[in-house]
Amino acid sequence: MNYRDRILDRLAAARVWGYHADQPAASEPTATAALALSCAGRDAAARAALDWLVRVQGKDGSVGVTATEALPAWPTALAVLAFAAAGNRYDGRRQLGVDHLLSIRGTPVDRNEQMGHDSTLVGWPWVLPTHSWSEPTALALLALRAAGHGRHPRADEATRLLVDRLLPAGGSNYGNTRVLNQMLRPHVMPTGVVLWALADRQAADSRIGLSLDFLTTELEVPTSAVALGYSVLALAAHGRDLGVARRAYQEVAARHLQQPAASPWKLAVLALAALEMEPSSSLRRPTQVIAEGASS
Amino acid sequence: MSTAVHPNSPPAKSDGGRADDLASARLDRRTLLLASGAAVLGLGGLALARRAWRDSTSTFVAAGQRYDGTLVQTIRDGLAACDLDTRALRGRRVLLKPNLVEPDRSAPHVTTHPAMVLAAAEVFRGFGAEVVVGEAPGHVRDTEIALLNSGLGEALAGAELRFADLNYEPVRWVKNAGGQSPLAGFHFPQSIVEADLVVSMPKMKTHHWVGMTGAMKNLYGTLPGIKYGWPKNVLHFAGIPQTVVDINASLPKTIAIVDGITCMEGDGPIMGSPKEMGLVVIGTNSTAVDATLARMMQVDPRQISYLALAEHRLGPLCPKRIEQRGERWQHHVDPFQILDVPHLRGLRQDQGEKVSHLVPPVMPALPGRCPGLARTMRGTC
Repeated sequence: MNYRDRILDRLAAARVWGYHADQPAASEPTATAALALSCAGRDAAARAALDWLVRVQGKDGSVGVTATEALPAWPTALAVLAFAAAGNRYDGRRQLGVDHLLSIRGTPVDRNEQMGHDSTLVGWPWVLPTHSWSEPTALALLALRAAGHGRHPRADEATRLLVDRLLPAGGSNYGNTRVLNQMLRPHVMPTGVVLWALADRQAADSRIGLSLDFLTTELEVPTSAVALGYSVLALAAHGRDLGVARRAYQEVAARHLQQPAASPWKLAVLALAALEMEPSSSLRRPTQVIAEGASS
Repeated sequence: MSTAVHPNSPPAKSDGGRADDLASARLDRRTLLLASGAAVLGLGGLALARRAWRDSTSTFVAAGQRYDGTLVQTIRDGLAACDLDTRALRGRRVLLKPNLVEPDRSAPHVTTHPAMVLAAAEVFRGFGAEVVVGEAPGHVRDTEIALLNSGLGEALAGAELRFADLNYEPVRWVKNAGGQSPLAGFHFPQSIVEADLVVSMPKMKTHHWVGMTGAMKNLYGTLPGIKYGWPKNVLHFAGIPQTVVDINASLPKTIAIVDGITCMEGDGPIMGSPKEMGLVVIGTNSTAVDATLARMMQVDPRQISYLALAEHRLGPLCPKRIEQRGERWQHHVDPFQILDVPHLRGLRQDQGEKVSHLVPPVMPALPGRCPGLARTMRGTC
């Protein structure tokens, strides 16, 4: 069963990429769709998504959460990823987005015994002016890598932050480790995003392997589209065997394809996973896009 | 993301998401309440509505409750006991807001039990209301897995109940009606703005920063992560007690139905231990409901910073101003374990049981009254 092409067909046909089928377009689903469609060579559909992002992008390079909500602009990182995967046509937009990302800093907090993480490290926040959290920092790191800025000092600090926020037994969550002497629980989706970002970062730390093990284990139980999608991207980026993900991929893909009003966002993340699970020499894998940008 | 504009500034091009628009579009308390105190509302106006609780508000307590028990009858009885005019709900939109802050299969006591939500939905449907269940999980932006891990997704599907994913809905800006925090207003999701009645359905839990979480704090989950982040760090930076009060003041009409059956003590609201209480607590004033919860946890409500701030603004803490319906709360006091940390040591006069696995004290005062602690919480949640 070729789920990949069915997912991509649905994604390309959506035309409006929102979090849910009955909602207006939003930047994260649109950027994710653009990335997947570009990798799949669905250029016309990808261009529709990319041009929507261009219209939403502010003069300062920021991309707000929706066309009408210019703040916060955490989806800028995803837009940079999409522009980077689209080739030269969007180079100017990509660079504008990078410039904006580099102007954004999370608010550091003095270290204290009540928090386990190094709160002085600066990554990216969801919303200004607040603290740096794992997922926006990972997305910014992916964007910088895809745009060829993987050696920027901000990328190095982001790497340190993401490793620092990994839990001792593996996995990540929104970005806390220990609070009031209690170790917190890992969550699948942020672990996937963080581990994808950390691939090839030469961050030797035993928690990375443990985190990949955590993702593999979590694929054994019922999971969601975005948890599966980012798990697959993380495992693929680290060269792990994707065979373990096959059953979950088939179950989740079949379930979402059955829905006449499937979420465009979930379809987009599933499409990224499909390009890794069902690769083809004529298509690019999303992890390949990041790796190529990082080496440029 | 310009640094010059605060993310909670009102939008430059407002499409009418103002508090006065909202007020005209929804039920007011006059149409919902028949209580003696609510008769004051006959004079109309929100200010008078806010004052009505000072004369009387009621809280209903039911003990001996089970998730496989007669919850529908309990909730129906509780709403009637609290003088909710259920006839006014026919054809109205009711949004049930459970607590799904961080669902985990291994820790069901973190989240509101699906049986509570289904029972409440059945009751409000029976009143002729259009019921939707909505939540913006605070720590988990993957709503699908939150619904999977909490068991709520399967339950809602079985009952053909719609779930509103509040993290990602289109938003409308509403002026901050509380005025305690520096936030000018809130970006509420469409389903919240359009609701005639929001039913806070929290789990009765301790909270490691502010002491306890109940009906008022649960309404943090009406704000979308897409605008406030995961966690909603914007609110932490603006002050937890202040924003709890401001959100409650700015929302449409709210009432509370509390899952106090299997509760959480110790390191709540996520990492604490289960505690069986067998309670369902209902009320039309969330401040009064939370004060009653606190007393049953053997916590002084005035030591809960957001309750202290809410008193005289949103509702009463004094037991003389909270009419007890159903069973007497005094018969169901069972001290909850509280973390042995300096900022929580004042919660209980009797210095009851503490959980002492914690680091040495570094903070000298209550949250919300201590700038140092406020700074600490900015980097956590």
